[in-house]
Amino acid sequence: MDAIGRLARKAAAGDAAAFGVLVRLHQSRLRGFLLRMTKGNATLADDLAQETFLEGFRKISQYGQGSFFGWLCAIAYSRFLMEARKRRLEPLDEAAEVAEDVPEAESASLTKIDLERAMERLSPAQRASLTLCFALGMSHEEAAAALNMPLGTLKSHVSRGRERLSVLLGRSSMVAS
Amino acid sequence: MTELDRLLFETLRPIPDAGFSARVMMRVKWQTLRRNWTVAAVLGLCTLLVVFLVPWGAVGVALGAALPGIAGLWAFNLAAALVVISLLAARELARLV
Repeated sequence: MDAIGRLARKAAAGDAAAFGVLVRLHQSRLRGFLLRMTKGNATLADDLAQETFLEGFRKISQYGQGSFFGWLCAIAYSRFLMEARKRRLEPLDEAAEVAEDVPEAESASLTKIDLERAMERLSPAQRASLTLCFALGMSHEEAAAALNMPLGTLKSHVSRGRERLSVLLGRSSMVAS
Repeated sequence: MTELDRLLFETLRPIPDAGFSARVMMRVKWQTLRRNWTVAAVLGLCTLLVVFLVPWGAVGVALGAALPGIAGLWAFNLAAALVVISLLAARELARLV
């Protein structure tokens, strides 16, 4: 069992300090993930992150093997979907993707701002899949488990999301490989 | 690797803690405290109900019929009832919280 697993076991036994270490270790990546999911709404992202950690603490005894961060992401994603439904933040299904184009990137090279802007046009599932698999370095299997979807569905979200990003950013050659 | 992949692989911008973990832990502690107090309050209430509402005389008579040796000991009756009720209450609470 790795260090994170040991901390999780201590937290499950009621050790709040151990859970505090887990929070400090994972807060940046979890808030980053939620910030992207909420399209840059930092207040909502932080609220969701807090609720995620609280739910994580309540359910810590249910955490078994595997990536602890993946387990947190599963809670975070499900909380995000509930909030998005409640607040009607955006259409959740892929069929309702935003159709309009994003203005093409102004400079010759793409920047993170261009990417973030284009990311906002993807469906939540595509956004989450791409973020977990690329920026957060999860394997497809881990990401599928975190998003509670079959592996094939996740791969399809990654592939379609990537294609759509290249179209939105106006550079079809970017997904040549 | 394409330009898009390069950007996608860039890690997310690190977010400084800025008191976030402390706020989470304060809520965790508050949640734990509230849960502990709820459990204690419900158990206390159950105990009071047992002490004041259980018809100890009738229990003694019933036990006397079944177990003549110990039925007369009211302390035994009380302890047995408290244990049973506490276990039932604890089980229900564990399901709730």
